[in-house]
Amino acid sequence: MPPLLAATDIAKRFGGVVALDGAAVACEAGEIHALLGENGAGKSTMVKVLCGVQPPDAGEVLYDGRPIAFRNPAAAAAVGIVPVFQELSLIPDLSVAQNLFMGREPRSRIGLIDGRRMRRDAAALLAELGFAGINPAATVRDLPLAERQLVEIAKAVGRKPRVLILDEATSALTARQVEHVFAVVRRLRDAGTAVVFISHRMDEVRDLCDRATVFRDGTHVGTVAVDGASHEQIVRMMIGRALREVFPPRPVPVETASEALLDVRELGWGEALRGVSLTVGRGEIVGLAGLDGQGQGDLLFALFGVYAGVTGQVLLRRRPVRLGDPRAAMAAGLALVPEDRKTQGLILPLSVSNNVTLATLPRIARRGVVSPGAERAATLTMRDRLAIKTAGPEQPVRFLSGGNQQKVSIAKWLLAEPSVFLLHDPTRGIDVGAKQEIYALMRALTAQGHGVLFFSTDLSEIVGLCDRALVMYEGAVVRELAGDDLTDANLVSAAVGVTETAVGGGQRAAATA
Amino acid sequence: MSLAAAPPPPAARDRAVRRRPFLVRNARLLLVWGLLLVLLAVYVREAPQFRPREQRTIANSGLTLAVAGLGQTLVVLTGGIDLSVGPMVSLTNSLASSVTDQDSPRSSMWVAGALALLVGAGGGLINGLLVAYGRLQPIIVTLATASVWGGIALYLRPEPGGFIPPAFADLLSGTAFAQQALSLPFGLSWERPLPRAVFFLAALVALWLLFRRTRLATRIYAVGSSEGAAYMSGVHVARAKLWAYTLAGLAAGAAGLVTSAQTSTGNALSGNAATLNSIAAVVLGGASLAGGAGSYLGTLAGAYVIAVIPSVLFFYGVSTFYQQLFQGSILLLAVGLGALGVFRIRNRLERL
Repeated sequence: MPPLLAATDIAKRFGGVVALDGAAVACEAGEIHALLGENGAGKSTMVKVLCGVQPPDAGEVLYDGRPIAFRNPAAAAAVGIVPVFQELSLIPDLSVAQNLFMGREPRSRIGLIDGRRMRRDAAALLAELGFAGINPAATVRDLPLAERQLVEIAKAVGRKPRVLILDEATSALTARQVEHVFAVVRRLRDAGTAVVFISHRMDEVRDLCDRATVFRDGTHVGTVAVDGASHEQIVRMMIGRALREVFPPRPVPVETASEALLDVRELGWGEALRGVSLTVGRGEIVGLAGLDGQGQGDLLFALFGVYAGVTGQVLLRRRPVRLGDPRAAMAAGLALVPEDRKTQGLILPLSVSNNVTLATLPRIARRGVVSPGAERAATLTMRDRLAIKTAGPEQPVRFLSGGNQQKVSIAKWLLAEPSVFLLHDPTRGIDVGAKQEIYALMRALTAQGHGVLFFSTDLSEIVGLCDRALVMYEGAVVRELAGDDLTDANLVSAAVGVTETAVGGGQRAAATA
Repeated sequence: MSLAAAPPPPAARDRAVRRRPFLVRNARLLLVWGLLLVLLAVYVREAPQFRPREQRTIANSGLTLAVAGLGQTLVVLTGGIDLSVGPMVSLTNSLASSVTDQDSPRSSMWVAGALALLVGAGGGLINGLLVAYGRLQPIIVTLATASVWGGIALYLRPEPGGFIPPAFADLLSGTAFAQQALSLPFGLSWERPLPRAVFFLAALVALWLLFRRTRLATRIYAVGSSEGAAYMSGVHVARAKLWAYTLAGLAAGAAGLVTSAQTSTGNALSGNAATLNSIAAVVLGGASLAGGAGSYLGTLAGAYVIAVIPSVLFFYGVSTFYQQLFQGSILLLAVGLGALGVFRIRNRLERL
């Protein structure tokens, strides 16, 4: 059977940077096809070529055996090629229903939008996909990230695509939501839809995909049947070298209890945080686990002073930290690498060096004037230390790949030399190689005596990386796991509230009493 | 043992994401209407009398701004701004007063009216082309075209004057049912005189409510809320902007005709205050200058707040010298009240 959508010999360059050169992918109807590669390998650029966001410089895209060239995403969508991007395409100020039916709103006889029917159809669509918890009349701005991603997927599926492209479309979802989405995708495949799937979670690819095409440095490396290829084989294709141990070795436990760098006592914030107490010791990585949205992110924001009206006490190196002011948190020695690097971690149009030095300007400025030499030296040091791939310190951050952007976001805080790092899902949406570098970096930081409080939606990171893990549920810490108890199974059962020991249940009861 | 104390299974936890309550969603709108009602109540109480004549004065006072504000609202919703609104009002006022003919007032006024609307829409189209396809900053484009429109107005009408047919003036700014009662079906009748401006206001509201349900309206909101997301959703971004600016020009042209009727003359500076006042009305009405959020219903109230303030101050014997001071303070106060919600926001990132 000829492929439904096939791109051959695609080349695309941005300025001097070659994004694609000799790239190819072919997806058949009724197939889920993974597109794999490290960040910067050209996956996203390929998707943009396929769905009409960017025209290729060279090469050919065949759809149904005929060459096509789309002028814009609307033209691609009109013939049935519909993408879902990691960078969301929802309009924040419009309702869920308005977004789902953007451009194809049901209209009454006189041509006006039939709002009632639109909301009804939206509710039906959401229910059909199993996302019934989302109100079609809610404004998208008010939805949590995961729900927005579900709406985004519903929006694409509602267009009845012949080719559905999912580019990191599940990155913010919980495991259960991912399963939901996968069921939908499988149903589409069985009905003859071609699905192109991009994810950094290899287990998702294994779980869902039939075949995989691997890119490296903008070139097609190979296409394999997912079942017939080993994990190592695929990773070797992606990074061009064999994958060794994913997580760095854990050091022998140090006497953490004696010295708590960060001591949090009965932290509360409205309904979202209910009396959270925890410590992070010198040289310790403490993981925050649990279902998505149980207050883990709020805890990090509250510690860093982003929230007003936080109750409780935070001690850093035994000194109290003034709550509700990020500058006070910074001065005390806290650093937050936020989840959303594009809006909260970085200032995209500014250069690498502006971003790296933003939190430490007083140190590289004299009487308010920034010293270009000091700025450059600091940037180059961080670039070498974190292996940031950039054309130079002056390159705007928005041109860097996701992994490299995240490194810049981390570099900014490394430079501030905090005692405790708060990391909010630092490896979300970045490739395997960059992930390993960040893992190694976290270990290097703790070896130097820093403490790390680490929230990840990826359970394997909590298990593989953390010395201790705190499981949160509805704003409270319900379980602490360490040593041999720190396993996938224990984390999952604690997260959904099925406790095996009386201790866990008792803690929860105490925390919410 | 502890299963009883354990939280419910995940399925039961799927809290429905609720729509924010009506009062919260429409807080800004209710605020500006509340402010307007207070000002009107003060006016009615303080005015020596409130006859049809005063009613007409009040209804007319904000009409130019209400009409021009419709256009400004559309442009602000796209995330842009139109600084050429005022000079366009002046230009179409000057134009209308120049092409009319004392000998054939009726037919020449038809021509003048059509020409004013056409010139307004044409000027808006130029703004739109430069902004949407020329990819220039709206503030610069409309600052430049504002000077051009103002220059043409002065060329057409170096001195105030010209002719506006009295019948036309009465049609737009007079009083209806003053002489004869309106007989309604079922033996009912309406006997109270009504300012004609009220009909135009009702028409503006109806027009907005209909427009709100068109695809164009959704696209204008979408473009202003997130241009990138709109593009990715297949919205023709440039076309939506082009429409917004063109309609804004059309509205300014219509506002020029209202000014012509109300002043019965042509003046090359007649509408200039409408630029900043229309922006003030939009902001008072609760729209976000960043685009994507707001409603004409707010702008309408905002326009009348701005128009009624001078009359209210007059009754309190405040010198006209201080009117601007008061007007500006009330604008700051209203915008400040509308922003009060910010202090309740406990996640400081949301305020950005």
